[in-house]
Amino acid sequence: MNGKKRSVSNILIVLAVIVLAGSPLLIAKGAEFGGADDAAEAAILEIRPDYHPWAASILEPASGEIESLLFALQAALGAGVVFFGVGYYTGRARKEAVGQTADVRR
Amino acid sequence: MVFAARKACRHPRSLKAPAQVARHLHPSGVVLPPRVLKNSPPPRRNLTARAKVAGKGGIVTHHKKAAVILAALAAGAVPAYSMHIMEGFLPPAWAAIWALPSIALFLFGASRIAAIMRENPKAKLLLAMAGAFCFVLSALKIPSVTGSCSHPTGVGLGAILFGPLPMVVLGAIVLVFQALLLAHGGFTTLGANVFSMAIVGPFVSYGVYKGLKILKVKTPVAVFLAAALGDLLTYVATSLQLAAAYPDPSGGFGASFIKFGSIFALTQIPLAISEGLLTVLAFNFIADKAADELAGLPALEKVGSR
Repeated sequence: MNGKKRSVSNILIVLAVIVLAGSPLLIAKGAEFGGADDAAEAAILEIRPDYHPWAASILEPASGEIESLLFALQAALGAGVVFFGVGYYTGRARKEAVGQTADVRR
Repeated sequence: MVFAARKACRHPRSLKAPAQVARHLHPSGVVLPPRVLKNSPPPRRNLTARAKVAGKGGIVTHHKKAAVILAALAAGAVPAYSMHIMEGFLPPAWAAIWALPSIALFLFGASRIAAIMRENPKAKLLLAMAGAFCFVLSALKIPSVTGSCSHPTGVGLGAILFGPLPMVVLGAIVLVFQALLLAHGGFTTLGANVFSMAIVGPFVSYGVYKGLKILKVKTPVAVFLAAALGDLLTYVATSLQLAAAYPDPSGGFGASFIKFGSIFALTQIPLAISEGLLTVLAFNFIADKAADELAGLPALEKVGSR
């Protein structure tokens, strides 16, 4: 695949992901969009009303804000490393390409 | 050991807002996590289930002292959503059953990573990127057509690049991060969650990728299906684990599996497609710019890197 064709397909992929993630908000209007686990927890208690969790989390985010902070931190750490690599490999590929053209000129 | 202390009622909300917390009371005296209080009104199913148990008249009394101490320690704590099995929600026997294979494969995975570092030091950055890809994707809680949210796992990329074993370790790191800091998943359920996300997921992705390459399917298609199916089957595995631990009183395992499957796996379908697409994006980049590193990877040497 040449560079131009690839970047077109990359853009299409990103658009498709945005549509996939965004469309439920329109399709399932008025839904709660809670975690799937909350529904699972309710299902467990429906099946076994006498069940009680035998452990609780050691630390819990002090509020929804702190929780989103930690999730953002997780995503930021991951994105940082991913894009460090992206930059590194892109730069290296460019340097190699420049080196090759320089060789040809000589 | 730690668990004994944590058994106690420990949701300080119960002291702060007794009216709100009423629906989280459980007959055992354990206060259920007031997850749903956070931003939005709780999903209806939740409300009814909790109202039911609360109705049975459990009031927290015997753990009061512990609650006060813990409340002082963690004022206002609210547990997080989690798409994995929640802390304490798997009976001890099942927790142990899932922990054993997870521990074994974790050790194999760790030695595999050590071998990759030794034999293929150039691939270190790629390995870090594969782990980081998991970190990013599993932090993104994405809405789904079922009206609830879940997150992708991101383990497919690394499984395709490095084989499934290293991903057992990388996936487990993500799960520990979330269990420790985010009350997302848990330590008692870590074995089960590692099994579904960091074992079933990567092995399915790797198997699908290899199988499709043998059938001469084009690489991007193989990568897409590998990552999407790995993601989807992770949540099918979660549903199986819950169904095995909680068979329906009347319908048995099957009825339970359908119930949990419709919660976890159905929600996951659009997310699995997204994960497949994003994995193709990442893989294309790596195949394009890091072909040298790819060529040396054991997972790809037989089928070629492109």
